[in-house]
Amino acid sequence: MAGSVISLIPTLVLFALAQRYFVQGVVLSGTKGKGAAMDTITFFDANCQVGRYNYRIEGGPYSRADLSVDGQAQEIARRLVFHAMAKEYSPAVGNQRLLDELAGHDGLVPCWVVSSWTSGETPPPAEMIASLRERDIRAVRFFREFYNVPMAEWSMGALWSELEVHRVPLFLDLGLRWATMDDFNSDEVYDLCHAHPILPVILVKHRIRYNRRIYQLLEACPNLRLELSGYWHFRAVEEICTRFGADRLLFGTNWPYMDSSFARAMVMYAEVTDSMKAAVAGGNLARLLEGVRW
Amino acid sequence: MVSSTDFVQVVRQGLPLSGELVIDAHAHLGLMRDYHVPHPEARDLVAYMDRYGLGQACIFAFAGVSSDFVYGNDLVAAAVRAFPARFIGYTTLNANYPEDLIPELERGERLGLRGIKLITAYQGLSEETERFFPVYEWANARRKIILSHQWGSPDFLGRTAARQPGICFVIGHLNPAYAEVVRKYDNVFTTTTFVPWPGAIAQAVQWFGASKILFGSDFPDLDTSLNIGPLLTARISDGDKRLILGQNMAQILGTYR
Repeated sequence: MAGSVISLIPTLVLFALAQRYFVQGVVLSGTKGKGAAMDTITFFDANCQVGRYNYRIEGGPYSRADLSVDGQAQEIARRLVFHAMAKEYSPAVGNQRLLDELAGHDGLVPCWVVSSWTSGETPPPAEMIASLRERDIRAVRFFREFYNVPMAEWSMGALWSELEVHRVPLFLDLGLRWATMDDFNSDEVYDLCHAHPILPVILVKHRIRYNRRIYQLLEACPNLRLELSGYWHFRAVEEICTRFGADRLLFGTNWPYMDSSFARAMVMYAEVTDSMKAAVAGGNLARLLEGVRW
Repeated sequence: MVSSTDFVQVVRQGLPLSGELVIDAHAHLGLMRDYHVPHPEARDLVAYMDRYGLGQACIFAFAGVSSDFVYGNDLVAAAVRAFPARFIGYTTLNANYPEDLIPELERGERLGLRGIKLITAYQGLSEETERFFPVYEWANARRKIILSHQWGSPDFLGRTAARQPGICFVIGHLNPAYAEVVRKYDNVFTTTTFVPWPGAIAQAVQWFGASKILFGSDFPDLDTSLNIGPLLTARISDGDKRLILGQNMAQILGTYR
């Protein structure tokens, strides 16, 4: 039972704070997989951040260089990355820093953070789309709690509409930080998906324990996908793939909060077809990004 | 035996561990109120264990966590009867039924259940509840393994371990607060369960010592990949990985009844 381990979080954080020496990449050599399956499964991480973050695990990774080391160690070919400052400080500042950080690193794909434009801190929807198009940024992320901005139509609907027109995937991050579990409003997710039925929406959560409502949401919202790193359930990959289709699940690591190896192992150990593994591992995300219409 | 690089390749490719002693010290059985458990039957769990190369698993019933522990213990006993080479059954207790504790332990023993599982956090009681003191006396006299979700304060665990040297105390979820106690007492161990942050396994080895850590995956609550991935790719020696994967638990099973 890992549920009430949430109550252990303070001690676990203390544990994590003592990390100093052990966060190093596992340097692999010659780990190309056996047979055709490994040759065709390419991992494309849908959920990782770069940059200094507030509740850093002491000694833990955070930088672009750390991210590259982890990607090599875990054989993750591409990563969709947002900047920690865009989550914790300012979307505008963080989004610009992201571009600076990722410049010249082909395997790292930028994801901008969006928020309310009413304050003038981020551009209004049409201008935001123009900025995305100008830089060919093909995914955005919305932090429901960090900026305390409602995601309902009256609040963010104009931006959701613009994203929908251009099929820009929206990563919906509904947690505060890594310790939170399950605390999101299913009705909000449902309403957004139904108000914008051709907008690709990807649900991101540090941990989802109550999986029955995820089943309900995936059934009720055909445009909703789930990012894997927060879905720690037994047989998670095969359950989502067989119940709802492999196109509904995206591999992600939640790096640097989480060890990238576990989500990768979830895909590789799943009893699904190799084509399903390939879709979850990276094919789905690649297709979503290719589907953006400028 | 495989080399260190092979451990990494095994998990990279999603292959079962072959030729390795692997005992999962923390696993469950049955249905769960909080979430849907797919394919929960014992035979399904055995097939799932084969996927990873888990030779044996210590199992306790979800029903004992948040519902009827007697019903749950019957489920575990049936699974052990069906797959005696794969499952090591534990009797789960609920201290809200103090009059049933010793009778249920004795019934569990007759049913072939070897260990004891405690999880008061789900039952509204303190992990230090005095209601379990008779259980400790019973278990100490019979050299039993007791796995508790957590063990209250480190001081409580240390005092209890010193007073009951015939018990093997297992911490169900890795918690650094117990590191000193684990190192101090030969009869206290921790599982790996729930350590998915970067570098955590190597850090745990430093804190607890590889000889005091038991692989625990918490299936079918969690997917076993959460624990097997970080363990097999951890920057620790192959020898330490083998201790954690199963050698430590085998030693315990050989020492305790």
